[in-house]
This record gives sequence, structure tokens and C-alpha cells, in this order.
Amino acid sequence: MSNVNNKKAIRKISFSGITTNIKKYIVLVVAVALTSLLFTALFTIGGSLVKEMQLSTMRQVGGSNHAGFKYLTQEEYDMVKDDEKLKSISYRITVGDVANKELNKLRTEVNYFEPDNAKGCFCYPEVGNMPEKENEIVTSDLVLQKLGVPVEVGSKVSLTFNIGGNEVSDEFIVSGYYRGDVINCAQMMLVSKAFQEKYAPVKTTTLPETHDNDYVGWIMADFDYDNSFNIQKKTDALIERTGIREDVDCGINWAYVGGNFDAGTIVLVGVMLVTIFLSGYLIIYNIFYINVVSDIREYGLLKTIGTTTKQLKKVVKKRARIISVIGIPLGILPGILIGVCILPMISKTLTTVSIDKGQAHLNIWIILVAAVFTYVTVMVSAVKPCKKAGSVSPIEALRTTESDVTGRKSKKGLVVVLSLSLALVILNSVMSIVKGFSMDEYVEELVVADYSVQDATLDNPSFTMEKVLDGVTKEFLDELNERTEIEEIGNIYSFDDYHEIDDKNWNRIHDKIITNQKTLDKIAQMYNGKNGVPTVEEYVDMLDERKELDGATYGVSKMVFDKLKVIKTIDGSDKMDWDTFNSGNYVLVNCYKDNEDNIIAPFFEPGDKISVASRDEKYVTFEEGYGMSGEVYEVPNYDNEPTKEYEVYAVVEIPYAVRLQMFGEFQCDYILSEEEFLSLNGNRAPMRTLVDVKDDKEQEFEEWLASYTTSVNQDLTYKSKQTVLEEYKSFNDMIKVVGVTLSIVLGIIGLLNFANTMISSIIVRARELAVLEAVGMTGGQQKKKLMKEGLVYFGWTALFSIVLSVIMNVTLIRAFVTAMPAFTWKFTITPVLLCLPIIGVLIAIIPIVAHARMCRTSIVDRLRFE
Amino acid sequence: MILQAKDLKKYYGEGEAQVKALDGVSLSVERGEFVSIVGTSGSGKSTLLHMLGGLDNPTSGKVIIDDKDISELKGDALCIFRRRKIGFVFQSFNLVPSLKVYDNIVLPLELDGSPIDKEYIDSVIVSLGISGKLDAYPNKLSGGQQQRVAIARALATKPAILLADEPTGNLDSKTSQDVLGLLKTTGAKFNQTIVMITHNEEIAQMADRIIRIEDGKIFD
Repeated sequence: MSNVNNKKAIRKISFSGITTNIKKYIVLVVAVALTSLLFTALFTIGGSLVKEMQLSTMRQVGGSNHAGFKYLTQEEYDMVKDDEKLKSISYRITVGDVANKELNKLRTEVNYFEPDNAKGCFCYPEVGNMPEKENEIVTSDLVLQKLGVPVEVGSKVSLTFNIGGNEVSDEFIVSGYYRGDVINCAQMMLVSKAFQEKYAPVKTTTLPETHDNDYVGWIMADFDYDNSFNIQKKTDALIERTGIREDVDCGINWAYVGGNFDAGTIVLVGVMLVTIFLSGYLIIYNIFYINVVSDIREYGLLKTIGTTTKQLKKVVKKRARIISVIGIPLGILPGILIGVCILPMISKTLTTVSIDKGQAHLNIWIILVAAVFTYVTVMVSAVKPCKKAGSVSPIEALRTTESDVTGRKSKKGLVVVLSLSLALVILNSVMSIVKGFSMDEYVEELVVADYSVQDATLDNPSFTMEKVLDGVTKEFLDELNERTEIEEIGNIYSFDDYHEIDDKNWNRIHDKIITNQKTLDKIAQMYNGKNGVPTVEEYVDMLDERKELDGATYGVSKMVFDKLKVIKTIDGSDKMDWDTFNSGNYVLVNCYKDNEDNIIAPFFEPGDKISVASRDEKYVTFEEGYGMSGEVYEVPNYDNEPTKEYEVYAVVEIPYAVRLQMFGEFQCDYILSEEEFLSLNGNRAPMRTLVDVKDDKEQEFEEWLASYTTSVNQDLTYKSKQTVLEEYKSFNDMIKVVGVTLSIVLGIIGLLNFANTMISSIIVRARELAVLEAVGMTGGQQKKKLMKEGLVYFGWTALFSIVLSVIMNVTLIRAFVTAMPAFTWKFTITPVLLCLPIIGVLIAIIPIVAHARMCRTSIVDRLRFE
Repeated sequence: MILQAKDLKKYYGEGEAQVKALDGVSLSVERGEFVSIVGTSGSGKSTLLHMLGGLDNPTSGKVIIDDKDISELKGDALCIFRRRKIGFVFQSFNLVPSLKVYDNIVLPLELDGSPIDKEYIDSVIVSLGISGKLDAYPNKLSGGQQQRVAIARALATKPAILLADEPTGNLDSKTSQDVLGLLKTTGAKFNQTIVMITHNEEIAQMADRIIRIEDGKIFD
């Protein structure tokens, strides 16, 4: 076959068809722009959130590099540093940690950093410079605040370093600082090369050969590969290639290891993508198809003069491409803007980083992916219209009249009805979720008092290190007791570790809870036997062997006792008596629940005897343990602790706001009275203190509390009823904003689709209408006829959207809402019913407007048109 | 006098580019007359027919149908006048594809909400020989049959005047003869005034009177 150079001709035809029908193509460009807007907004939000989560993981890990080798000597580092497959490598040298007692609760490591390594570890100074002189340091604003030093370059600070057991104290100058994030496992303090060489010279013997146990002077190298695929394999290969010792401590940055998204998130993202893709397809396909059909005469004509099927398809594709080139860029900027506006609202509800939260992480890839996705949608949508154009028979096309187009009505109508309904169904679903948000019920669960005071780490889900369970200081309690605004104060004490269970109780727990089918189903989600995780059977065997359950021991005062929800008591009633409980012989226990918060069974029954082990410091012995990066810490051993036997007084539920907000697989909690807790465990500060304030004194009290927790004791934080209300209102707002935005965009798409269908059908039938006019159909009669056609669409849309909304409401929405803590399921169809009249009016107006426009062309011209 | 045109002018454009589609045409037609207007392509005959039928407005001049000056009518009033007083037969039949033959025929009556004179319609249908096709859709009919349906539709309202625009333009010569014969005989039978435009001299000869038009002017 000879290759004919007809590109020019095709180009010419493609362009001329557009310029002569410019209005029709403007509708198409708007449709493509809307699709591109949707995709860009979605990818901006999605991409930024993924990035934020990744960043959050990196911050927890402490670095953004792909992998690293730990505890190297200079010689070992030199073996690796010039490897060709590494894109970059940098190192830091361990020095020690800061021993100032102000930093007891904010672990601060001292290292010498290469600038690149500091950047990778999120501690490169954002203000000021890297330390140069021996007495210069760089650290985070959090550390400086804790030390009580002004957060500025040039501040002087007295520091005591613990360098391999030796204390070095000196006066330092802050040469720069960075913004620290509480989710980091440790804050960094950067010292100069001079300081490091003086106090922590690099080791010369390798880790296995050394007898030092001080973790001082090791090179910690971090490196990047060209890409983040298969980091483990690449690192294994690197070890073999460079000949570095095989047992080198190597760490893969698990921020780059996929799979930290759970199935639910993936399904949700998938559903979103499909919905958006579908709506994009719906708009573009329909509009394109109608365009091709209304241009069919042109295609037929082209065919009669010798245009081949292939060439015709090229013309349609070329037009699709021209539309994409104009439409896609038009949608990208507004898409990014919408994304950037919505992003902080979504980010706020997720546990990620705490600095620069909700910031858009834009990069060229997000825009490219959105553009490509839109382009693919356009091209996929053009496939069928393309075929249609190609399959035109020249004679037919010339003779084609309205009938061929009207014959397509039902199919085209379905697309219009579906796209309109989709918007309504989503709107209705969103509104029913929002409506199901019941603040009062939720607040009861979340807020049991006007104020709750605790250590700042306690309820911060970002803070994954060891939480402070005895953070409410005596000094604070003393001052609190002197406040006149107080109505009631209640304390909660706690230890959180594990309980040994005796054989008799264990057998019952084994039968009623562990081997309960509901439990097995629940734990099967976690224990799947993959990636070294045990199977359910192995896990159950392990439990049976250990006869221990995770759980806390709480001590509560009367105010808190009154807030516990009673399931059943020893005397069968639903009331508990404080004096009986406080006698020192009784304990309260909780229930084992499934993921939907339904009780599976109580761990113990009222009347059971259980022994509770003391955690008194007097009896604790310590063993040495090693942390993730080799730091030494002490592991408590409670084997020598005495135990005391109690009778189970009642089975209760502990309100979320009272208990520890993290839990193990089997969270078996014991609750003692305050007095009994302290007598069993020795003196200890409360984990949390609840305060009820006199109604008109709240503002006064809050001012004092705010100033106390910011200036006197920054470790403490408080939560007021008001802040909780606002927190959850903002979550509700997010769903509302995101859902309504999505509905509006989809609604516009649906109406655009409808308008286009109507306008095209009017354009195509211009001649038929002219004939009708010639034989005496008045303008009013024509309009009525068109409105009637519109009303048919409206009728189907109403039916579809109501039926689908009802189905969604009783299935998916119900399931979703039931799983959410602050929501109760409420059936609603009102949003659809409210929106339908608006859509009805638009559906009635659009044909009339289109008809009026058509009437600008004289009837003679319309009759002549053939 | 059922139809009168007085000094009709229709100009398009301005100045140098001005086109005089009609340049001072006057004519009159008697009740029951069958007149054909002949002219070449571009002579202005279609424009004249559009003016006569109230589909287009003249630049100046008057059209009087049944003693009514239709240039005084506008919009829906003109449309209603048209459906009561004027029947159209087009070259391309222009039947409504979604309606059956019978519904096409009575459409102008239904649009008007006027009662259907069953007897009259039946006799028109019989005269035109389409009684067997009443339940068919237009696209199932031949061209000749479609044009016969169009003639029936034009006659349905008992119009004052029937305007035919190249009624045989899309038909072969045998069918043309048949359709034209039917047009003439039914016209005579119902005492119908017919104005037909054509470029075909032979077809024009079937009329009672021939008016020739060239360059927007009538000449005899």
C-alpha cells in the first residue's frame, strides 16, 4: 500500500469543521475543561495527601533517604561512598544526647551532620546556618522553647551533653534552627565538625570487633537510588558489590515501602476514581456522539468525494485532540485552586505531620497525570463516535434526516438521565451523612467534663513514642484546688501494660472470647500469616501459652466513677454504689468489642475473683534493652510485684474521653478506686484530671488554664468541651464541602449534558421544526413540544435519583455512618426532593432558550437547509 | 380576487453588494385558478413564493390574501393565519417522520384545535389514492406517495390558497405527471386556488396561467 501524504488535508478538514461550528465545540471544550478540573483537583488532593502521609512516615523514621547503613567506620564508609549505582550519599556522626533535665520528655540527639544529610533528616536550619565553630549548634524550635531560650539565631544556651556516659557542659550559640515536629521520634541537635572531632572521633574498629558500648563516633550513612523501587534488593546487591560486612546494620526507609494503605482506603480511592472517570466519560462521550451525529452529513459528503473510513476516523480523533489541547489547560488551574482550598480541610482530619499540614505538594507529575487522565477519557469517549463517523454510508448520510438522530433518543437519554441522577445521588448521600452527625450523642462519649487536663503526649495520635501516663503534676493539682470557679474535680490514674490471668479465668476467656467466631473473624484481618505475621491459629496458641492480655489498670475518683457506663453489676441492677466500690475489695472490668463497637463478651463476670498485680516502683527491677537505632534503655521487670485479689463488682464501659486513646488487640482493663489504686501501686500522679466549672465562670477558668499550660507547665495540655465540638464540626464541614463541591461539579456536568442533548436535537431538527412552523405550528406550540421532551428526561431523572438515593441510603450510607463514631443513621431523601424542582425548572428553560436562539434564523433559511 | 401582490420588493445587502431578489412584483390570482410561476434558478421565484406564503417579509410592498394584508401580521398571528389560509407543498415533501400518514395529514387541524371534517378529509384521501397508506410512516412510502400525502396535508384545512414549491422536483417524470395530474384534479374538485413554482416549462404548461419571472421582475 502506498503511503499518501494527506496530513495537511486532514488537518484542514478537522479545523474547518470546528471553526464553522464554533459554538458546538465550545460546549465540548467546556466539558473537557470541567473534566480536567475534576481530575486535577482530585489528583492535587490525593497526591498531596499521599505525600503528606509519606512525609509523616519519614518524619517518624527520621529521614527521607531511601536506605541507610548504620554504625560504620570511616574505612567502611569509604567502601560504599563511591558506588556508581547510588544517586547520592551523605552521613552524620553520632555524638550523644542532650542531658539537660528540661529535655527529659523531648529526646534530643546530638550529631554532626553533613548538610545533605541534615536536609534528608528534616533538620537543616530553616533560619540561620549550619554550625561552623565549636560552640555553635543548630536545633529545633521545640527544643529551644523547652530550654526556655529565645527562638532566634545568636541565642546563648547552656547545654549538658551525654557523650558515651561522660557529661560535657558548655555555653553554646544557636547558629540556626528548624521547625520541629512532635511526631519525630527524636529532636536533633547539630554540632560542628570541630566539636565532633574533639569529643566523638570517628571509630576505627568495626562494630562487631569493638568493645566500646557507647554509640559515640559512628558514621550513619544515608543514600538514595535513582528510584524507590525494590530498595531492599538494591541494598542487598550494594552490600555484596561493595564487599562491606554482611551483617552491617541496614535500614530501609519504610515510607517507600508500599502497603501502608489499608484495603478500605484503596477501595474508597478506587470508587472515587471510577466515579470521576465515569462522570468524565459520561459528559464527553455523549457530547461527542451527538456532535458526530449532527455532523454526519459532513462526513457523508466527505465520503462521497473520496475520504476513506480511516481518514474520517482521523478527522474525528484530530478534533478530539484539538479540543483536549484547548480544554485541558483551561481546567488545570481552577482544578489546582479548588484542590488547594479543600486540602487543608481533609488533612485536618487525618493523622499526619504537624507542621506545614494541609499544604499542597504540587509537582509537574500531578498535573501531567491529571492531564493524561483527562486526555485518555476524551480519547476513550471518542472511540465510539469515531466508529460511527467512519461507518457512515455516503448515500445514507446525505439522506439522513432527523429520524436517525431521534432514533438514538433512548440511549442518549439514558446517559443524560444517569449523569443528572449521579449528581443528585451523591448530594443526597453526602447530606444524609452530614445530617446523621449528632453532636450531642457524640459529645457525651467524647467529653465527660468541661475540661480535661493531661500530658500533651497522651492524646496526640501523632506522638507514637512512649506516652506520659502520670503527667498531671502535684503543683498543678495544688493550684487547681485553689481555684474558686471549680465545681468538681476527678482524677484518672493508670498503668498500661498487661495482665496475667489465672487458669480458671483464662479458660473462660478462651472459650467465650478468643475462640468466639466473631473474634476470630476480627483478628483474622490482622493475623493473616503473611510477611512474617502469625496466622490466627498461631496467634491463639501464643495467647494460650502466655495467658496474658494487654490492658491498663485505672484508678478513678468518684466523679469519674459516676461517668462509667454500667453493663451489669454483681447484684443484677444497673446502679453502682461508690462506697461499696471504694471499700477496697472490688474491681470493675470492661468488655471485648468488635470493630463496630458492639460488645462480644465481658472479659470477666460480676462476682469473679481476679488478682491485680502492683506496679509499685519499689518492686521493679530493670533489665537493659536496645532501641531501634541502638540506644540503650531500661526494660522494667514486674516479676517481683505483689498481687491482690479483688472481686468483680460490675462490668462497665469506660468513656473514650476518660481512657487511654490507644489499645491492644485484647484490651482488658481493670478499674480500681483512686484510694485503692494508690495503696496498691504506691504514690503516682494522675494521667488525667477532669474539671467541671461553674457555668458562668468558664471563661475566667479557661484563661487561667490556658496561661498555666503555656507559661507554667508546657507539658500539660487541656481539652475543653468547646474544642471538641469544634473539632468534630470541622470534620462534618469537610464532608459537606467536599461532597457539595463534587455534587455541584457533577450537577453542572449533568445539566451541560442535558443542554447539549437538547440543543443538538433542536439544531438537528431545525428543519423539521421549520416545516411544522410552515404548516402552522406556532412558536408557543413548538416550545410546549420541546418542554414536554425535557420533562420526560426530568421524569426519568426524578425516578432514577430517588430510587438510587434510597438504595444508597439504606445500604452503603447506612454501613458507613454506623461505623463512624459521631454519626447515627438517618434516612433522608429531602436533598433530592429539594433539588429536583430546580433541575426541573432548568430542564424546562434550556429547550426554550435553545428554541429562541434557533428562531433567530429565518424560517426560510431553515427550510432551505439541507 | 383571492391573492394580490402589490409592488413587492425584497433586497438583500446594501450598496454595491445589494441583491434585488424581487424588484417590484405585482400580480393577482382569482379564486379557483391554477397559476404556475416559471423562472430559472436564481430568478426570484422561490423568494416570491415565500412572500406570498408569509414565510418571509418583503422589504416593501403588500401581500393580500382573502382581503387580509398579511404584512400587517407578525409572529404567532401570522403563523395561525398561515395554517388556516395557506397550504404548502414542498419539493422535499417535509412530512414529520415521527407521525403516521393520517396524523401528518390532520396535523394542521390538530395544531389549530379545529374539528376534523371527516367526510372532507376522506374524500381528499380517496382522490389522492392514499387510503391504503394511512397507518404507515412517511419513510415507508415512495416519493410520489409522500408528495401525495403532503398535498392532502395542504388541503386538510381547506386553505384559501395552496402554494406548491417545485412539487415534482424530487420525482421522476412519470411520477411527476401522476402527482401533478392529481394536484390539478383535486384542486378543481375542491375549487382550490393553486400557485405553483417550477423551473420546468413542460410542467408549467399544465396550469391555467403561466407567470414568468426573471431577475426579480415579471415579464410577459
